[in-house]
Amino acid sequence: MSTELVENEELVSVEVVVGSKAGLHARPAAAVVSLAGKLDPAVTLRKPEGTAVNAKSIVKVLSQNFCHGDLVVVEAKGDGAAESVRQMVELIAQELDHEAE
Amino acid sequence: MKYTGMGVGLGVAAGPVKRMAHTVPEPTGGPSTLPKDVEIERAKRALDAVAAELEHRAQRSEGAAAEVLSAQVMMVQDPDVWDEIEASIEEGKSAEWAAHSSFESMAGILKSLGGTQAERAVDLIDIGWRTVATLMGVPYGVIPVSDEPFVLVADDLSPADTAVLDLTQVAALVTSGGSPTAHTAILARARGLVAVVSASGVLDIPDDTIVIVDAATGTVDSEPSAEQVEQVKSQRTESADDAPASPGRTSDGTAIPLLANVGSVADAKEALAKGAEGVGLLRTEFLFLGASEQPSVETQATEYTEIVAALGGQKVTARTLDAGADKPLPFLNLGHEENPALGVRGIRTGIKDESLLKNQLEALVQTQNAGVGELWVMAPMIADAAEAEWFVKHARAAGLNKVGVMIEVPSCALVAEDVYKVVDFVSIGTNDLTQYTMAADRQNGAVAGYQDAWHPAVLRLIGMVGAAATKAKKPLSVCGEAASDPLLALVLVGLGVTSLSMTPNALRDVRSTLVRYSIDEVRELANLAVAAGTAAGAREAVRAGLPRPPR
Repeated sequence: MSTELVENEELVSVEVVVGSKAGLHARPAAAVVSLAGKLDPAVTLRKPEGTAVNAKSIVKVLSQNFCHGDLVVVEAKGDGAAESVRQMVELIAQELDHEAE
Repeated sequence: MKYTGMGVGLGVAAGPVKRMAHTVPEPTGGPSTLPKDVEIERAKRALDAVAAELEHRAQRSEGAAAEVLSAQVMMVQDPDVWDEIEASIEEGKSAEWAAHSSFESMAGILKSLGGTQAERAVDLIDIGWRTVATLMGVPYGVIPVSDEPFVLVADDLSPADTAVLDLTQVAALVTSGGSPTAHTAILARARGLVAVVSASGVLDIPDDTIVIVDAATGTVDSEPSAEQVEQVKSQRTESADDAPASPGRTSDGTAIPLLANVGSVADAKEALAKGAEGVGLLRTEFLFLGASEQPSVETQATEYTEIVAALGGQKVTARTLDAGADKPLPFLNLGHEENPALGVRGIRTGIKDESLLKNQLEALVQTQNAGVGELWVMAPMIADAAEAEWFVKHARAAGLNKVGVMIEVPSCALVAEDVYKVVDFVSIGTNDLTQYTMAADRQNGAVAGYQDAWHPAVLRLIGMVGAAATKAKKPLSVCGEAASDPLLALVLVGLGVTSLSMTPNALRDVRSTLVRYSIDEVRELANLAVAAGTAAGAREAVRAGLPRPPR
């Protein structure tokens, strides 16, 4: 897991490498969306050079085509942003496709 | 590979597997005629309904199927898709168009990525169509088209699906969900189709695989030999019986009118052709399911009168609207219920929305007074004598002459004597009576084994109603699936039932079985069944106790 904390006044932004062999598709994507639904403040995901998308949107998460080993930038703003981001980063770093193990 | 489920009937059939497909009309992009907030509310409600349905299916599925369905639920609830839908509606589009175009455009993004993402695009498109179907109040599932008889495979068929299916090319029905008395099975009995329901795993069988469906053993064989298939196909010669039908009776001449369950003019004509002596159950739902608003009194009266007229003067017993949580109506917003079978349904819908019942009674009075045939009217899902009295009062106030109730709830069977004091007749709905007596959801394949009207507990309840009917000297009919099982029909008559109403295709077998036994003999058979310990035991006891073979 390579994480790098870039904290400015508002935006908490952490980079994480996708740990699931199958990438954030199918089951792992569903796990990300499930967690995102519980996080307040909400988090966004993006590729390092890309536009941030709502992590609660399964369609948007799938549309990013995050593959195994890709860098994902997890971001959130406001009170508790660091905690939201931490939880999401921890999840994405894991192998989420348990049947694939 | 052999899949095992529960067979409906005793037939066997072979053919290629085909799945349900849809043909929902494509929404137009023209401006909406409704206020924006109304369209937004409609879209919200439709998405909630689609999510609830998929969630329900996901809970009943396993493995890959459950995963796909759960992912679909997430897609229905996707906040970004919702934002697009809302934006479209704000631009003046209809909810139908907004839902359709939003899911399509999202699917387009995934499609362009290829691979696994492209596969998910199919799911998004499916959801879009489901939502549009819900908004339009049309069924989503539609039968595939084929030049040769095929085996229709589905998760389950909803009443709305079955209402529109063209089954001329269906050799057999196979479902992974459902139960022997759920709609798929009812449909199969009604059309004389071979069916196996509640067969887990059958959705994995690829399209066009040749399978053998054997209802007698409840199996689906996806790897039959060519010889086996040929043998089954050559067996499938239907013995058409063109002998004119005589009225239903026992061997000693006790008249047991054999009636039909119908839901349309076409059904009524078929019933007459197959020798029905009247209609014991006219389902009035056909006018309501799929309607976007309540049908007018005039429309209802016209339709009911047409059916009564089609029966050529024979008696017709109409059941007031049996809808609600279990059979949702687009124009009745009853909300989502955790336990639809135990919720607002049957007469409870009519109690909650009195205008619905009042309009229907008014239409039925017009039909009664049209002079085309005799009309009796009954209410479904009555819980006790007080509720029966409430309905009778309303029906009489509207001007109806013959008023009765259905006994489908065990509480009502227990107080049948009191119920008979206020009604002219009773009809037992054995499917629901079994579901409620055994506390097993008849739509839930996992508890399908409980859904068997042969169970002595169910038979004893029917016996209580039978005794009350005899004491009151008033008619007692059975209009559930039980009446279409020839041996069970004998037991029912033995328990005091005075007429049997069934799917027209079952009339011939029930008639020919009934006429072989005397009223005393069927009473003895009923005693054997009631004394058994299980449904299977009751069936076995009656089979073994028959004084002579049924044919």
